[in-house]
Amino acid sequence: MKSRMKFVEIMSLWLLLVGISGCEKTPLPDPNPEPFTLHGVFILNQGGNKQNNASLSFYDPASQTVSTVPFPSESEPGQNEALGDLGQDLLIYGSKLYIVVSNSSYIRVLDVKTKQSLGKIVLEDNEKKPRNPRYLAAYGGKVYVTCSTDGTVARIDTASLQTDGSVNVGANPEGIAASIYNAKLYVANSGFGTGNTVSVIDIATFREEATIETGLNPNIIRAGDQTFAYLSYQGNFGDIAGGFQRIDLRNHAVTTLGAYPKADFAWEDGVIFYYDITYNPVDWSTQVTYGKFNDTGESYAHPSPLITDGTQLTAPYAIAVEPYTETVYLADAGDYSNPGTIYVFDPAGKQTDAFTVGIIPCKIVFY
Amino acid sequence: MVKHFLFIWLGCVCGVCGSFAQQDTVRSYDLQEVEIRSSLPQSSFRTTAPLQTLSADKLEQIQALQLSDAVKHFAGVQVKDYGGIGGLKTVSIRSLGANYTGVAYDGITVADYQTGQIDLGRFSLDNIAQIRLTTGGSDDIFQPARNLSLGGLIEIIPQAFVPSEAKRDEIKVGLRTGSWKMANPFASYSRALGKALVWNMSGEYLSSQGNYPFRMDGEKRRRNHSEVANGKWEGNLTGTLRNDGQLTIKAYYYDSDRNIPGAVISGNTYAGERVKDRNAFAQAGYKQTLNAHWALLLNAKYSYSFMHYFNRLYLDRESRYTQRETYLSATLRYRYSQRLSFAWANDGSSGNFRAIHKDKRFLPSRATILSALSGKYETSRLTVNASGLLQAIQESSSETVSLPDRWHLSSSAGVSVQPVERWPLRLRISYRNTYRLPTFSDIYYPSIPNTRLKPENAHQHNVGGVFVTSLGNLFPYLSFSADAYYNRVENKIVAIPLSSLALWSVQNHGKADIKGFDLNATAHIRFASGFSAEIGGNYTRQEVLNEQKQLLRYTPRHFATALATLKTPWCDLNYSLVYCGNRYYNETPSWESLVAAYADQGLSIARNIHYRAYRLHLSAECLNFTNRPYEIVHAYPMPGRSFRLGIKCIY
Repeated sequence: MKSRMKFVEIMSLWLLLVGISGCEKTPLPDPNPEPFTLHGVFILNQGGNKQNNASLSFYDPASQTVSTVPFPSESEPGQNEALGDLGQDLLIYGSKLYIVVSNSSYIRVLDVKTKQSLGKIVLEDNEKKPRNPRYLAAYGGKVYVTCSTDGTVARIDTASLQTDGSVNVGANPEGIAASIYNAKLYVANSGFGTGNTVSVIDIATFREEATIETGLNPNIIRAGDQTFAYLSYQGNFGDIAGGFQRIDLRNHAVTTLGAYPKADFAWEDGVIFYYDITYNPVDWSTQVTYGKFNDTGESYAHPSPLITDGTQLTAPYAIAVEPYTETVYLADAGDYSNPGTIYVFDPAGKQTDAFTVGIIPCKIVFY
Repeated sequence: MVKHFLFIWLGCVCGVCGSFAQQDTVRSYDLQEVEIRSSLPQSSFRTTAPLQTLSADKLEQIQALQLSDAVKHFAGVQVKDYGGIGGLKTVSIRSLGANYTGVAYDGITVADYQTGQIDLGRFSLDNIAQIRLTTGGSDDIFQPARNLSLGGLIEIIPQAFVPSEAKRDEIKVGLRTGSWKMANPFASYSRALGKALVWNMSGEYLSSQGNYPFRMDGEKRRRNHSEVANGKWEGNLTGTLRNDGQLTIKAYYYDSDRNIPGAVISGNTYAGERVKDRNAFAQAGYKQTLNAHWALLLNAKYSYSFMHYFNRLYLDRESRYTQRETYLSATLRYRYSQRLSFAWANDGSSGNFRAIHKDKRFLPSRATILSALSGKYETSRLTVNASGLLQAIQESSSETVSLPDRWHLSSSAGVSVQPVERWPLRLRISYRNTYRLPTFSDIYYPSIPNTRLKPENAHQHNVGGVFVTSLGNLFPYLSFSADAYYNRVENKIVAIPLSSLALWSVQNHGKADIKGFDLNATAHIRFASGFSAEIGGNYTRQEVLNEQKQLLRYTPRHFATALATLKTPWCDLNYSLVYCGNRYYNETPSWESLVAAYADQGLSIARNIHYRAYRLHLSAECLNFTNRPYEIVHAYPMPGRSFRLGIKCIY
């Protein structure tokens, strides 16, 4: 058993090295081509639903301090305004940070370095109904956002910060991924728990060109520069369980890997880092598992541990991996109404840091 | 002689308590007395647990439109208000939570199987003789068992017309109008039917645009999608039969169509929620003294309520809720002697509930049997009461989930004593144990229904004293009361997210320790030549902690209310104040989670004009006259300064 673990670790390390070297050979079209050094970590705090208390925390690794990013009021100079209601997703693309605030139905854009506001992209339909933006993806100078209420993907021009197009997908789309491999967008159509498809959008024509049948209630989808995308789906929280699927981008074949993860996961250099929550419907206790695996059946079945020092989180809600370091950041939403905590783990799974952020930390990005 | 005098005086102070022989019919239907004595303070001098009352003229003074406006002036009461006329208003007594507060309309409680919380915005105050709030146990043992099963009970006692030889009928018409297109016409007609009976019909309509302005992030905004239209019809037949039996029959219909503005959020002003309420009930009460020892109280009620919820934003969010309840109650009282009496109350109720959503439906029903055995010993200087209450609940559902049958036994006891005969000082101590059953929304609405939910269990303890006196001609009435309380809530029923906000369960989790004290002072001042004043105030200091010794959300440490009335020969001037200290919307006190302290102050001027047999009441009110922006619930701003004009004619 021990030797097998060792084997898995070596294999993972080897794959990782291969992955990194692979990346070096065909680098991501990163707008910052210089090698990555960590300047800071942005953490989006979702806030309570209809509480108008989403917030953005900034962690400075040099001073190990956390601050809340202020949003100066436009109408009243000297005052700050709320970030908005229900933070959902963050994306750094170019020099800009895009913040999806779902119930407020806008995307705030910040300059990553100065944290100065560059504008607000309001997403509402012709009847002024909010479109409820959800998740972001970027490709070729455009940012794409899923819009839940009207079942669309909106395209945003990153220079003008205006929407310049929209395409219909399934009902209540959630996660979105842009594939560098085939220049297509993959959109998880959740249908608020009734959907079971992923829409394929051709970026060049900006048209939905296919749908792929997936597990029930698709949630988060990630694609890198490889020929695969990965999808977590949540099921119906009842008799139909959630799980994890691999989509082959060459032929859109779907392979179910297993029952975890069902929610957020990170994909870094061919390795998937995840947390998973299962609950016991008899006593409503929750069981949280963590792990990392690469895409081999053996590695998935026996994922390597993410946490080795016995640290326990109450309600993990987001996971992110610092580029090139395998340092794992896990967000703990706690009781979902008091400020949450970010835990940092080194590649060996030892907690190296922990800091308090805002209410329900839901997304972590690095720059 | 002195003893005698004191006794008579106390009797007067106690207002509705009336004569000694009818002491434990405190909550009596003898509304004539209420009318006559409504200008006298109705003190809770003798009760073993705090009893607070607001009479009809006080209700006119405090600028109360809805029941919630009135009860927030009671000590220890916090109204959770989402703002505006259509906004949900629930009441928490001594931080127990809204589910512990019952509302009895004309003697019979209103039941809500879905949430267990009664919206006090539904009840208007136009034809009300008195509002009473009992915190903890009631000394009135001659009541239905359900009235005795609650942590706190708000009783609404309607006004009744008392015919005389000269006057066989009464007409009341009125109109109130105010800011944001508020219009509230009402009419009531009462007529004697034969010698013993009186029938009454009344109707009321209340509408408002509700689009009040507020400021957010330095930007001026208005509530939108907040239109309300409520209608109410009521018919009553009351009287004393030839065999001295007292009969009350009531039919009631209420409907409400309202748009819900929702929480105030940055950027998005769209609101698409709409609610329709249709509510009807018929109830009958009959009270009969059988002989010198025995008396019987019978009550029956059938109620139907329907609610339709619709959200324009998410067209699949449409729900219909229907609740039907049949309720029967019989209470038998045995008076062993003038001092000692016993009562045995038995209630049976059967409630059927249907919740029909687009994709699923729940059809639970619940049958409840309540049996309360109470005893009371009362002399002029001592009151002792004790009661035991048995609840048996049987529940069924179309779902595979339903609660197992269960029963609970809870107890209540209290002592009130006047230690020194010459001093008008009463000391009181009481204990009450209340079970708060899981509601249908607790059990069936979570992502995973929880059939193992236990009821919440609250222990209320109260120690206090009341001192009532007068000081010469200048202060004909002075009263002070102080009560310290300790409430412990076990097995709190709370919603707990499982892996996201969308996936949650309702569980018994944690405890709450509520410690505090209420202070009350009231003074009546009589100046020369027709000028008089009434000044009263409440102050509450409390600390509500969870198991981790954190201050629970939305529990202020301080709150206070004050009322002042100056009566002049020409008009009455009134001032009212509700103050609430800082609160936090979670358990982490910080600037971000602060829901700031506020003081809501109102002013009004009223004048009565008597012309022949007509009485004309004119009033002008300014609410929140300092225009203080505040929130009771985070992200739900309350209205700023507003005005109301009222005219009422009674013939």
